[in-house]
Amino acid sequence: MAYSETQPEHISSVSVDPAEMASFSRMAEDWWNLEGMFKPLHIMNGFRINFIKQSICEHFGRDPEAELPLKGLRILDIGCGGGLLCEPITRLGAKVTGVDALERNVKTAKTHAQTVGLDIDYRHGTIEQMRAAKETAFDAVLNMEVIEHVANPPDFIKDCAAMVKPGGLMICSTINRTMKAFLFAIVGAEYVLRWLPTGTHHYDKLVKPQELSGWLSTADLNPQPAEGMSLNPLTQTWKHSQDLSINYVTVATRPAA
Amino acid sequence: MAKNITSSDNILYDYDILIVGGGITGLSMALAAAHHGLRPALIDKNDFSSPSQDGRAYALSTASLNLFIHLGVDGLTELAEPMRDMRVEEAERGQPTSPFKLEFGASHDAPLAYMLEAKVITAALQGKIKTLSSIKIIAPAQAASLKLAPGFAEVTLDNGHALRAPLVVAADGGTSRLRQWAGIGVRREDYNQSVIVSNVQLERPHHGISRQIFYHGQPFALLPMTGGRAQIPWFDTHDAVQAAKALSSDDYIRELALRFHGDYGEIKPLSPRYSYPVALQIADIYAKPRFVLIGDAAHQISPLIGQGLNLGLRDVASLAAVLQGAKAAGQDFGGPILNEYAAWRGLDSRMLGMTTDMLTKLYGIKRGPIAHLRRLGVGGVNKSAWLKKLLALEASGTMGDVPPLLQAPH
Repeated sequence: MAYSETQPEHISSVSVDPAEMASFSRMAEDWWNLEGMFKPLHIMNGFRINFIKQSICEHFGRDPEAELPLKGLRILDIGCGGGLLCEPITRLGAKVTGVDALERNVKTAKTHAQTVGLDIDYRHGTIEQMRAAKETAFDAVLNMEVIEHVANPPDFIKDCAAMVKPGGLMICSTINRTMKAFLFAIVGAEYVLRWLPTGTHHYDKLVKPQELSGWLSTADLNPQPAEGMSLNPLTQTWKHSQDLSINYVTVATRPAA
Repeated sequence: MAKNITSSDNILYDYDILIVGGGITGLSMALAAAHHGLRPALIDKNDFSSPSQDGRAYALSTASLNLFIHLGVDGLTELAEPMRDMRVEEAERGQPTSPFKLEFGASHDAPLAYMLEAKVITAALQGKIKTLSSIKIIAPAQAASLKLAPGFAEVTLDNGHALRAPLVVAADGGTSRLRQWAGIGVRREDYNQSVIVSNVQLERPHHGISRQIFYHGQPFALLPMTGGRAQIPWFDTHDAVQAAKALSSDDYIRELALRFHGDYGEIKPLSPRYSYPVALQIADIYAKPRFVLIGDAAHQISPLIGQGLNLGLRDVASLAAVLQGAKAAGQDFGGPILNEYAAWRGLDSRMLGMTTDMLTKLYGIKRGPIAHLRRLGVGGVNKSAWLKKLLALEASGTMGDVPPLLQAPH
């Protein structure tokens, strides 16, 4: 591993925002509590895992119905938290590395993976550290619900893109900076439904799809058109939608060398 | 025991799910899990090679038969007696039945249900399971203890062998020991009622019509079976059922003939009479991390309207759908996904339980204004076409959010 377990939490970095880290640190123990603070991620999980599986299978010409559809692929999950994505992606056959700037998250994730018998390479650190350490690039990089929490999104995207190997892809999902997103994702989820602790998302840090697209292009990836994701709060299920105004996801590919 | 036979190559687990109980729901669950690419183990206390002697007949809904067809269990429809109509009547012993009758079948072309004996269904399911290498049969074996750990569930057998999986499915019946070991309580309502059941040969045809005749509030039923046979469930107080059980065969048959007013000619006994208490029993919760209840272990309703097994098979199809989704998305079989199953099944079984509970209590009242209102009420239900349709739909198992395995195969 390129960096130590005793890495200070509040390092000066393009990806780590100290205020965000302090808030997530308080929540670390709660990652695997279905009714806890990460409930929205649990509700979203089946949908986004299927999206990731489909996108990766489509890109690499694999059968999504296969017993282990992602077998043999190396996948990096950035901002892996407690491992909510890393574990299922591992069960689908991938060799997964999860990285998180918060040591408590990494400890939670490691413990949980051990408990359920999964072999996942968890790292405490940042994406720019991985890049600086010249880690081998990955077949796929997952960048899910992270960009809206980082300090310098354009540089962060550059570092993430550097970890995608030629012919690979990156999947980014985030929340749009619109009045509707403010109402539903911040006022609704944090203040009304109380699904998320207040202060989880900040309006001015939300990202417009064209901004994300621009950063991806600058980082030499080819972004595909963004796709919307919408939540039915009554049935608590997600579906694809044309509406990009709240949650959306963008797949970007790196040309083969 | 060999490790690494789960579908995700996890060294922690011996199987994807452990099913305890080899009754019809447990057998069906094993088949449904294998159907979706999981690797289940089935722990059954009965020897798999000796055929079931269980002569109880079930009214299977079209949805339940759809499940069997999806699971590759063929030929059951052909072995069944189609139930073409369902009559609910009130009577005094030795008197003609009440003019207020509930009749269901008339507006439906398809049969209301298919009557099949437990031993026929069991043999067909066991036969199919034996052809599948993906299902591990552990029988005869008894579960001796259960451990629910954060990362796994473990069942230890009476021979000391311990088996691990991400999920244990308890299909071990109304008196489920696994449910008790998992610390899940039940809400139980006893009616001071038992039922005595026997199979008989009828001289005259039953025309596929099931009958439920209420004698002083106690239902006495005829369920049509193949070859002019019928199953006769006779509900009464515990004492009365014990007395009926003690009758000589001749006296018992004479009583049946009298209660049917000789409608079926000469009646001959075909099976011993067995009896059991009738109760409504619903588990406090259907799922907790790494553990789930299906069938009678989750809910037992009065056999009055013959929906108990259908309800259990709907558990199977719902849980199978949830597990299929989990497998496709690499999720933990014993994790948060179980909440979907609990939410899906809870409402259905509570509704049916409430309906049969209401019927039992409504008909249990012998005289006074309620009894009078009931007579009017039965007439009212009969006149209300939409209500009948609703009841018939519920009975055929195609109401509400239907899991794919219960839907008609292409």
